[in-house]
Amino acid sequence: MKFVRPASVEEAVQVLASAPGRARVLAGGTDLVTLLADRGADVVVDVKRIPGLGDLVADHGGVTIGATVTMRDLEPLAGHRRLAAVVDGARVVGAPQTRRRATAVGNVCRASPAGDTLPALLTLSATATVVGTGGMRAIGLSEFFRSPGVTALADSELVTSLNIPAAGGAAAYQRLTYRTSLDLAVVGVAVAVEVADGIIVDARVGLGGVGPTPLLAHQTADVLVGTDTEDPDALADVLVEAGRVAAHECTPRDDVRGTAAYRTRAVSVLVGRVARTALARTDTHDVA
Amino acid sequence: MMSPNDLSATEVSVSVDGHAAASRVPSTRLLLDYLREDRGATAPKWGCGTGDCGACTVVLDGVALDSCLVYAAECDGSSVMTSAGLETTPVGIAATEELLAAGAVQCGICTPGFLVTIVSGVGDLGPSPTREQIVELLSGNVCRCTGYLPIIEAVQRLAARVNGG
Repeated sequence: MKFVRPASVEEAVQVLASAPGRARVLAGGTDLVTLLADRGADVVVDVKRIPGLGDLVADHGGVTIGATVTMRDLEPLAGHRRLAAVVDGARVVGAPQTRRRATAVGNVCRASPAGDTLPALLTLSATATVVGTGGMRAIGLSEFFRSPGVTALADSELVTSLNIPAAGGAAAYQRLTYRTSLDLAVVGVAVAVEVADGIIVDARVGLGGVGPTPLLAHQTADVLVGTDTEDPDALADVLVEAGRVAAHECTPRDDVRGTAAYRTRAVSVLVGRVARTALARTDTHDVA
Repeated sequence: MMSPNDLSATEVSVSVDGHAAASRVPSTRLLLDYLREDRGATAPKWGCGTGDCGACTVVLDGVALDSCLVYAAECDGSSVMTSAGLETTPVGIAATEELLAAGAVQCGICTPGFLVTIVSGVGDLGPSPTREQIVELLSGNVCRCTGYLPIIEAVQRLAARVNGG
């Protein structure tokens, strides 16, 4: 295994292109190091010393998360009522030791169906900025995840940042696990809502752990839109209905963390719970 | 024997507990193995090898992390502190005293990792942290024999002592 520390994105892309399919990008390494112990690689490209990739730039509700920004680095975004959904996920990844090393871009590139930041990034319409030998392109995250561990990235391509566009409203993410730390989500749910005059005017629902990739539950989101949040009974009914629809938008499978039936039931409960958290956050003000 | 031109080896210069040294290491060498076998710094322990138990926790350039999930090659130019280095600092001495006073040590395999986590994290806890805050700090370190209650008690007392409670 050859270890390379490129000084620029261009150099990193050249190294990746020189060993198609046999080179791996290393940022935090909290997943990759153990994966490589099993599978190996010809070249490991450590991108941590490339200038600029550690930048986290937030302005007016949008944010750019560089490739080497860690889960811990995202903490300041908790003060923003939409971006807090990503922090909800980042805060439950692994343990403090892993969160200081693991990166958000790494979580995306790992493409685990249960990745904790992925449902929130999906609901916030995040895109990945990608650089390859053919130049730069943006890939929407809803197009990015193909199957467990498989992404839309070409062999020579490197994700340089994630970009979350500015928008209104608030969002939240919660997951179900058997223990708080060092566990993977059985299911994870993110909900983003925008409320005007008490009515939900826009909604997006992201689900994790219930299919081969994290996914957007469009029909569930449609159920939420139009709801009068100031009518407690109507809201309660809609949240139950949203959970019921979400259960139909899942394709979970049985595994060591739970049966498909359990996951389906858990998602239907979590959708309502997370929607309430997101709605509660619409009443808060962003912390500068 | 590695050839000096071996592309699978990398030149690294790392300061370990204040002692700098340069050497050539295989690119697959984990920081934990490098510390223990190349540098004789045996305070960090091999536990799970997958970042779950925290027995290998060290401070790398100011960040407490699992040294079993880091390649030595990533650490060129870096500074590593193990529990052996940290336990001689004022906070480390206080932490050691509180762990002993609370009876928070049994077989000792987990202790170096706990000590690194505690010493590097206690400053953020304030003088009177909640139990939840302490549990959160310690959540990446696993103990299979002493149990967590004495360790939590030790951190409570340490936080009050070093953060002016």
